[in-house]
Amino acid sequence: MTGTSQHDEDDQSLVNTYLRERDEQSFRELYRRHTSALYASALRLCGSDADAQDVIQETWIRACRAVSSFKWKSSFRTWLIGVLVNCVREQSRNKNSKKTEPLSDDFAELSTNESGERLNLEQAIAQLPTGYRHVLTLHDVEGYTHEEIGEFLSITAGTSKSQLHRARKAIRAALAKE
Amino acid sequence: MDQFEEDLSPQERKAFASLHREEQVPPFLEDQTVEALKRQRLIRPNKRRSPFSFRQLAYAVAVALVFFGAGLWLGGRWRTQPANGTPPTHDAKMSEFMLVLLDSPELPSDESKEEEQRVAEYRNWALKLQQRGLLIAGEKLTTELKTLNNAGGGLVISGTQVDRRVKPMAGYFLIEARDYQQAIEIASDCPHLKYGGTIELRRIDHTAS
Repeated sequence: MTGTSQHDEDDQSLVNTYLRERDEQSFRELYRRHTSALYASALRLCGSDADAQDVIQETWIRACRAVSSFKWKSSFRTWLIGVLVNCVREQSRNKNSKKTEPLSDDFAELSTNESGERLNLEQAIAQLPTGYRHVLTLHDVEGYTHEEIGEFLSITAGTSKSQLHRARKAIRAALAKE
Repeated sequence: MDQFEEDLSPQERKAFASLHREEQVPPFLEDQTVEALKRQRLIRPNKRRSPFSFRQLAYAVAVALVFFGAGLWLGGRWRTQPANGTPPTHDAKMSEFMLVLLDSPELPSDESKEEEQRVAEYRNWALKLQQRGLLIAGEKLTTELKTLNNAGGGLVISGTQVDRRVKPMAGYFLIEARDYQQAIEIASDCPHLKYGGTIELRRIDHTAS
């Protein structure tokens, strides 16, 4: 998720304009380029529309505060995802989420939804405990490396790997059950 | 390779790849975020720069004053009554219209691949409207339905799924337009029609608000 493309250059140009003038139009352009992707991530990481919308707003506020110190060593999108993940984790801590317990190995509780129907992949991801859901979403859905995930979540790449291993095991078990 | 090094099977990889990477953002969120940024002084209010120089502007004001004076003088000499006594109409004020999207039985089910494509087309259409400043809100509705009535003397609530045989309401868009003509132009471009759906176009009546 590194490297420079035309898209990155356009982002950099918009960010520079925004920083120079604190310009509304360039902000709106950046918002429109990235928010639909950020929102998809936020929905998976938060699990609810309302929480995801709060996180999106907070992500942009923090991004606008901090973007002047962004070094452009990754893409702007990757940097934004990092900001978003931190907002999600903070929100999760503030809400004292009940889904932070570690998973048991058989993951039986993930096998059905409220209607008793078999789970699809999206539902199975939504029911993962927070830490596993974050790692699996960032790696298997978003395509980030363990090193990048480690930076986002303040964990080692090894921890990211082991959490992904367990999260995948949970997902497979859940989807295999009738 | 350590104990956690593993890869997804091709089937699993395909399943993850099929998940949405983008989701339609509620239209209100952009303005809400901009307002929050303005409150925190992270965005400056828009300053509209005049396309004219000061000299051009001063000249334009002087010309306007001359015409204004001439208009007053002429108005005094040739004041007339309206032909039929009715006040002049003006379309400058924008109205709000609701596009009620009614599904047809032939439309794809929510789970199909074609449905994903359809939703993406609607999203793109809505984004274009949003960029023109004409979209106020818009959402897709689920097929879950709750009905409330007081027919038997007490409140009765029933829950079911919408009946696709009777053109159920599938979603809506709330837009701004000058008049019905512009609203029709906007609605006629909506991908819902391409997919065989029906659009009911209704002007919002603000007399009750």
